[in-house]
Amino acid sequence: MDQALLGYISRRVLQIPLLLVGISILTFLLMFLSPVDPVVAHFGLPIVQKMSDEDIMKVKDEWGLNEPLHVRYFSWISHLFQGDFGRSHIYKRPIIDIIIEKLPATLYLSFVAYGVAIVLAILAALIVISREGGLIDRIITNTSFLLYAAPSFFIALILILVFSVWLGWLPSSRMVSISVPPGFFAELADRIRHIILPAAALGMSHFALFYGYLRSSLSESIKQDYIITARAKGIDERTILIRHAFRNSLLPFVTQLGLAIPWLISGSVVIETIFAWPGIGRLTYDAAMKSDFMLLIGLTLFTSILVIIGNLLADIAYAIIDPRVRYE
Amino acid sequence: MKVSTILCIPGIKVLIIIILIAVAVPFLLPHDPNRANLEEAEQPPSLDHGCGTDKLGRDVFTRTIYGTRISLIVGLTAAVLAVSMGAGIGITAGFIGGKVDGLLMRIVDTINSPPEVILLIVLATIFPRSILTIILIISLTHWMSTSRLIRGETLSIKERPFVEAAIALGADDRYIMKRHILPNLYSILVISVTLMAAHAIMMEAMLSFLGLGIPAHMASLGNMLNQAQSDVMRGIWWTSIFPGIMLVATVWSIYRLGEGLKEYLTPHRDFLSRI
Repeated sequence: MDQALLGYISRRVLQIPLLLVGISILTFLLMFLSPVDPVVAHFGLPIVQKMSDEDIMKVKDEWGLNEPLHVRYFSWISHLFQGDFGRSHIYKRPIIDIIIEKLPATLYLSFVAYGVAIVLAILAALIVISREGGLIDRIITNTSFLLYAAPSFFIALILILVFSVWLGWLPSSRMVSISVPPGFFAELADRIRHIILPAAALGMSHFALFYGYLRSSLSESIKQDYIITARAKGIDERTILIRHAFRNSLLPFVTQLGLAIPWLISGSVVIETIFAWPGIGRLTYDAAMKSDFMLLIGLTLFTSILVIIGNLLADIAYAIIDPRVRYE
Repeated sequence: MKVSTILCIPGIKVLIIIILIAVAVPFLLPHDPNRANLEEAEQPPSLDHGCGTDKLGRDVFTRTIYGTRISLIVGLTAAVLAVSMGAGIGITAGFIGGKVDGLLMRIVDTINSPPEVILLIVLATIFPRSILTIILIISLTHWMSTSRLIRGETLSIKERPFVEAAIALGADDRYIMKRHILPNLYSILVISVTLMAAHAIMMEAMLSFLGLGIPAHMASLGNMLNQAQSDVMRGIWWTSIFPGIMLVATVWSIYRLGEGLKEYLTPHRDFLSRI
């Protein structure tokens, strides 16, 4: 690996500790602003009302709530370093355990939704690009504009209305049926039936996003000089499109996916809430509804770290593909 | 810009119709958006109720129009606030440079790290629910992309000869920022506000849909869709389809307007795709 690339990567990685400090301060401030009294959250209002002021003060002393702000911040940080994100008062369990338990469901849904959206976007962009300005191009491109403007929860409601309520083909909530049918294939079929609607609802707006990106980058690269050279050499259009134009658009597109993590999480909050999908998104919604503020803060921290990792990977991948970035 | 040119921008005609409806039609409507009438609950679309009624017997068409009003107000105000904040911070960072720039950009990076929906949800649970809260939390979580863009632009404008000339003539920083940098950013700011407004409308609808946005008794498109969730399960389609279509039409037309303005005001520049 060359020096410039290594230098770029190490500079980029060195930014991360500072960013983490920033995020910890931000989340700590949010926690400080929270209207939820931690004593009430922990014991419940009826018990706190029976407690005397002295008892409450005693509890607060014990928890370090009467310390000055910076002392509280540093004690909180030292807990974080030990992997202690605090406890959720609705689940009565450590927050990090809950997040790790709920993460696979979200990853499963996102991978299916994104995988399908990416494959369809690539196919659509390839079909459209050799017929730029034609009827198919206009139909697909205008549809993608509409899908981009349509919020995922509206798409979800339409899908449920058509496929669950009117046609009765697909279930509209949960990851598996309450009574799972016996047998491997029956179970597999049950899982597939459950993921179709949420994945479609989550994937559609992302299809529009990916398609728009690929289409504009393909239509740029198809106009480049090396494409004209390839044509002049007599290479057939299909090879030019796939080997020359598409390869050059695909790489930046793949690095873009690392930047899509915030979208992925944002989308899953809404879709998991509608489809009662037991993942991180649904957890966020529940935490907000039940004012479990420590859990919300834990989720903010956790998702921020995911985003930082995604951005880092995207930047590094981009620097590997495009050497100009390394010398900035 | 000539009127005929403006009308050529895709989306603008739809947007003008939506704005006219949202502004004028409430004066002509026979129904009160919030008056419940249980005798007329859950009626399908008819001549009296063009888009049917919801489970409290409220007229869906009337509520959709009022909801569009709220969407437009929230979207536009939040977008103007967010872009102003972003522009102020971006110009300052880009023009002053050095440590101020470093600090401001690290703050931008920090606030940009949590996914916006999570940050919005946290802020929505902290502050009491009202239209003003929604506008404020959307603008507080959406100024960062603008500030990055404006900072980059400021850096390049700063190097141009007319700024050097102004410095040579003894102009101070404030004067240069106001008279030389800002006027060169107008077209980008207009585009940013437009695209941001579409996004802000989506965010408001999403928060309201989750039950964390506009207070539940008010007619907003997101609230209507939230209340329509259980209707959908019973096959009652009109309470969700009409507000949903209005939401898509509004967001779509503003996006198209933004994209059109981008092509018209800043031709041959692809970096703006980041807005």
